Amino acid sequence: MTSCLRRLAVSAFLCTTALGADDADSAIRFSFASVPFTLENSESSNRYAPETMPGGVAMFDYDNDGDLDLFFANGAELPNAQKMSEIYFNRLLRNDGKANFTDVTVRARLAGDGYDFGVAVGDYDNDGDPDLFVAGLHRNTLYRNDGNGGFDDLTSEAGLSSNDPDYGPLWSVAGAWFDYDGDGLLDLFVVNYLSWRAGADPVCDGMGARDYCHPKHYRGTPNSLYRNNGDGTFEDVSASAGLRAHVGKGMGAAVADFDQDGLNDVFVTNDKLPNFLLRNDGKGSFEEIGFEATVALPEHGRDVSGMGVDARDIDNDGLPDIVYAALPNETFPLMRNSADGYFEDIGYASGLASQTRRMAGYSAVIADFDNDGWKDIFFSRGDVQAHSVQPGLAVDQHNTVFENLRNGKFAERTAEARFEQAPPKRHRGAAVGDLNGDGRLDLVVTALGSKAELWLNQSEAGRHWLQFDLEGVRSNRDGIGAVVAVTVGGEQQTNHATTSVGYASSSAGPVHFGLHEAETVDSVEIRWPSGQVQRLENVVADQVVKVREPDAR
Amino acid sequence: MSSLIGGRMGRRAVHGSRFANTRALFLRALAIGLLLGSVMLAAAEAESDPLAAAGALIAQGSVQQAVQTLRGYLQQQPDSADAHRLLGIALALAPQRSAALEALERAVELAPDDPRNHLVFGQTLARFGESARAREEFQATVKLDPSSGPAHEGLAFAAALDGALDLAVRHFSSAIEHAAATDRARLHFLRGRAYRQQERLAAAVSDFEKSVDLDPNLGPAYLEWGRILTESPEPDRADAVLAKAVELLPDDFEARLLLGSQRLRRGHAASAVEHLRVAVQLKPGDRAAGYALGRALRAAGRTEEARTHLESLAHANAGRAVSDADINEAGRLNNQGLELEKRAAYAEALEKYRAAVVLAPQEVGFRRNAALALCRLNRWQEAKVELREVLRIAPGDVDAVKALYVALERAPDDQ
Repeated sequence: MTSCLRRLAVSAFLCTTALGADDADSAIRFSFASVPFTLENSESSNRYAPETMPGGVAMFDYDNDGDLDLFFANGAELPNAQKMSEIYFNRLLRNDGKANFTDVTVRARLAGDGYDFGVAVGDYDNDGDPDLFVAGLHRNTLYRNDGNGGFDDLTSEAGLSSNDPDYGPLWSVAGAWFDYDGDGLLDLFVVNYLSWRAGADPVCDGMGARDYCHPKHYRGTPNSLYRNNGDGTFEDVSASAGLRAHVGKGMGAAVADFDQDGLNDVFVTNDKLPNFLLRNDGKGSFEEIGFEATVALPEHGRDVSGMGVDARDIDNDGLPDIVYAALPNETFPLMRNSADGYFEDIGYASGLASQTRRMAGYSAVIADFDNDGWKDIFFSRGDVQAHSVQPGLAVDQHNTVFENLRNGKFAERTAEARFEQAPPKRHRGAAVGDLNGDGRLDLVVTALGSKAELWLNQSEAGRHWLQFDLEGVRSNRDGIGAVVAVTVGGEQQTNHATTSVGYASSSAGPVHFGLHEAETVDSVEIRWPSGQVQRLENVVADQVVKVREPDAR
Repeated sequence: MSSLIGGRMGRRAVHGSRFANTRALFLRALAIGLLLGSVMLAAAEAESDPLAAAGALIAQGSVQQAVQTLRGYLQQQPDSADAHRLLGIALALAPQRSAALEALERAVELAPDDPRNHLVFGQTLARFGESARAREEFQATVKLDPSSGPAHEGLAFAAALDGALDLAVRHFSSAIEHAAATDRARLHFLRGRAYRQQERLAAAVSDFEKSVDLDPNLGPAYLEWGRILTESPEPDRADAVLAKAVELLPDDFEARLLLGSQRLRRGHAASAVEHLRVAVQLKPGDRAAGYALGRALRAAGRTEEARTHLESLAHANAGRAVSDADINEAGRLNNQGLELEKRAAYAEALEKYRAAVVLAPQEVGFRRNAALALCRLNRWQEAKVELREVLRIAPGDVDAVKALYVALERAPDDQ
């Protein structure tokens, strides 16, 4: 028995090595540049919990000039949570179309007031100009885009309050826009983290020095859902939608039609608590089915620090799968949607678990970076803690991309993708989109106390791609929730429109597909949130296709 | 005593960052391993006249008789280092901490060049949680006798406790080199665990293989080996190793859980259900086992049973985020207790710690602080109860070990 087992073991480790080190076919590469924005988190020896949690970034075309601009949520002084200096301003950076950025914050009136974490892009008033929701500490902000380069703070008018009658002022870290009730208007899901008040942080030890506390030391809070009334106001429907029955410590939300019933559901990661899968019943309520769908926990059944999340089809079976970041010794779970209402954690089978065991991450982004027709996974990395809590585990880490090997396996490409061009940091938010119009998906990543990072995609040129810029008519104007399927030579890929991606971040570019060698797509099917199905045929690659939803009723 | 309680332990102020201390396993093994070492050494001593009788009594477990014999002998031979050493061993097993350490210190004074004296002193110090002083004695032993396997083992544990895993591995290697054949399987197992902590998985696997080659009934080695294999890219290969672990350790929760989970991954749902059911029986309420069983039931096509089972798990988890508020409040009370201790207001501090324990009974830090406050108040019987509970929750808690032995000395258990 023993000799047999010995052979098996040696073979297993050879496989491990091969999976981690094989870079012969790796096509994913990025070049690095810094972005003129510094994330000011006000880190102090007091280790206030909010210090380690900012900040999100958004990619969106605020001025409708055809390229993606950047918005960064920024911190503030603590414990008063006030932006007492310009260094704490949130920032809007205008893209010249070639990934050169100009700061237009002041003109846009987006500097903000409080300690902000997350940003969510959505055209809530269907006027064609993307608006912003900014999630913050005890204060959220709704900015309406005036279509003339400026934004108006309409938080009060809209009725978005951060004061909860039972939980006090809420600490929101992210938002997700989607139309939960099918009325053609974007509603707002707000991810709330935990109860925090200045001066009440426990004293927690991390390897002999004060460090940030385990989330168990704080009370959880329920998430919020605001129904868009269509007149610029919102109604808090958290209770009637069933959300208040589920108290968590939310870190991220991914919106997708997980059960393929035509309604958008929400998956919420929780920090050291089971995750929520909120199934939309189509009657205005959500049923929390995380355990029943076996997606509440990773395979090992233990709580992990669920961080930023993305949900897309990673195996081209037409169903949205889920990946989220976590902390060292937890592994980053990859949940495969098995179509029968259940999810299967394929972290080990895919190689992701073994390769992420020593990693800490915040953002998870699923995207086809090498345009080969199979979506890869990017993680912004860096620990929560200020000090290493275990020998050999780094607090500052390089970002990482896992290449989809097209056989159910993923291979880490940190060095090969050239993420080591920049020093390791405590990275946080990440947004994805094509910033320079070359058809390859670029990344912008924030890091605590550091300039934001621009990772321009330099992966193998010549691979074909296609993007869809959706305009809803009966559906919400952004087409959020639309599912797009492209077919080439009998092979189908699926993606969907959502802006809620990564940790506290928002990616509002067109829906992207890598096509590898295909110069034409045989057919495209778009299932709009309204239920309409639109078909296109023989679509030529390497373009952004503007698609307007048919107005038929 | 006063320096022990008022010193380093008194500043154990904080109560848990995000990550658990993974060194507890080593501490637990240290306590058990060195206790056995002391007994075996005592047995070996029994073979040398004139202290053979005392050594035999120790080996038989007749510790009090051995103490009487040795004290009688020392009245006539007060400078016998061997007698002091044996007396120290017997007293350590009694356990009478201070007297044991005093006897062993005397043995070292009388015969500082005898490595046995340093070794036993080091082992006893380690047993009582005095790891820094123990390390010094092990180092002295190795200086005098570089081939002392037990001293290298002690140094390996000390290094592991400090997180110096490279050094731990080196000392385990030396211990293996110089160990008796009967100890090698255990030492390979321990070194394998150190390798595993270092993420040197191939080296760990090699050690676990050697340990089961040397002792085919060493179930924990199969378990640790299988645990590593479950994380390999071809996890089904772990199956045979874990099956052997279950065969040797049929009532081990971890072995059942790992094998059941492995069978589930391989698509053998019915077999997975079988092992996971045993795991759930062995540790009712364990969520990981319950979750795995729910997934296995679903995979086995027992959909309704799976749904019911998973729903009950969801129900059991509901409200946890709210109850975490209790931990927050407990932390606040604990911090107040610490401030009171700084002003030597131990009774008031104890009240705060106890209130914290009521709110968060599984948080070992609050309970430890309550126990230490009891020690400072000389309320030894109560302290023992709290310290034993601390060690039940966290078997490797060094400060609790140290304090418990002090408490036992001040208020011995009724025998």
